[in-house]
Amino acid sequence: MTVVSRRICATPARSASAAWNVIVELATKPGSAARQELLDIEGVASCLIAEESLKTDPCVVFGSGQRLRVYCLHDDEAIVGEKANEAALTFTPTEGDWRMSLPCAADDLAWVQKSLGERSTHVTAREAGTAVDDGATWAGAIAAPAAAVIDREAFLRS
Amino acid sequence: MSTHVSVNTYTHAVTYVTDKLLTSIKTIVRLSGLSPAKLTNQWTALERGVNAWLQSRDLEELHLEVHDPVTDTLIGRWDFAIFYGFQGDGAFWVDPDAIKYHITKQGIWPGSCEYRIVATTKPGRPDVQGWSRTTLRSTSGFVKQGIGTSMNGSGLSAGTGYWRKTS
Repeated sequence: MTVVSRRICATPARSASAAWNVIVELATKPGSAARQELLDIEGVASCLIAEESLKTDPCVVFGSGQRLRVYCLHDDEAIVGEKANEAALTFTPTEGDWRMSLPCAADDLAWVQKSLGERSTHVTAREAGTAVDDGATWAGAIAAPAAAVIDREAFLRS
Repeated sequence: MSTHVSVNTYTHAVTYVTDKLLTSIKTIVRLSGLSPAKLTNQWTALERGVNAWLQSRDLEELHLEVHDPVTDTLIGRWDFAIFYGFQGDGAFWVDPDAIKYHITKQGIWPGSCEYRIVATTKPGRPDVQGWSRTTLRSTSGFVKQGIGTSMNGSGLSAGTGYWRKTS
């Protein structure tokens, strides 16, 4: 799996909502349903950026193509901008079957998940410090038993 | 408390204090037993107004006002009084623990309460999309408790206090 990272200057170089709009423009095509969906969750996402939730845990966009990880820079790093990488992507991570995972403090997780669920079918929140649940483990668990089943009667008849 | 120091422009201080005002209000709402969803639904307009009026130095106070929707009376209020002492070479810091400590003293509000964000501005301030004129509810029967400066953007700072019922 190919992973691409970007680091976006946030507070105090940019407001939280301005930083979110940079992420939206990176991850979506103009006029797309994905762009509208991400703009619909601007308030929650801006709140998470203002809380510096994306400082050490990335916003992850994943699905059928390359995986995108987006971090936010804050304080001096945002002002100086030396670690920033806001270059446009060579692919659109929100095309096809895509999902986005936003990091969130444990105390905020319940209301953030509920709020995202009311506005988006592709974006979920995870507790900061935990891995992104991309469904791979779940799919493997379902597939493994089926592959291991032996039809004993058929085997003995042969 | 988190602190960082650098040479900052006034715009940096405004952006920093705007973020910390809104996240502080979010924390108060959540810890007081209410849902921050309404706040995040209005985030863009709130950010736009607070940022614009800090930039023009018209914002005097930002309030979180909580009321009983049945009686339309005040249940509680938090105030953030703005001080315009920007220096340009000082620290940016926020102290959420002071707010959290006083919320635990105050206790939670009933889940049926509603809240709104109100800005007190100087006369003649520019209008901002998404904001309208209003009047704060009466604080009769309440007393204000100051808890000191809770955030500072190199001298652009917010003194914080809350209103509790007199017993």
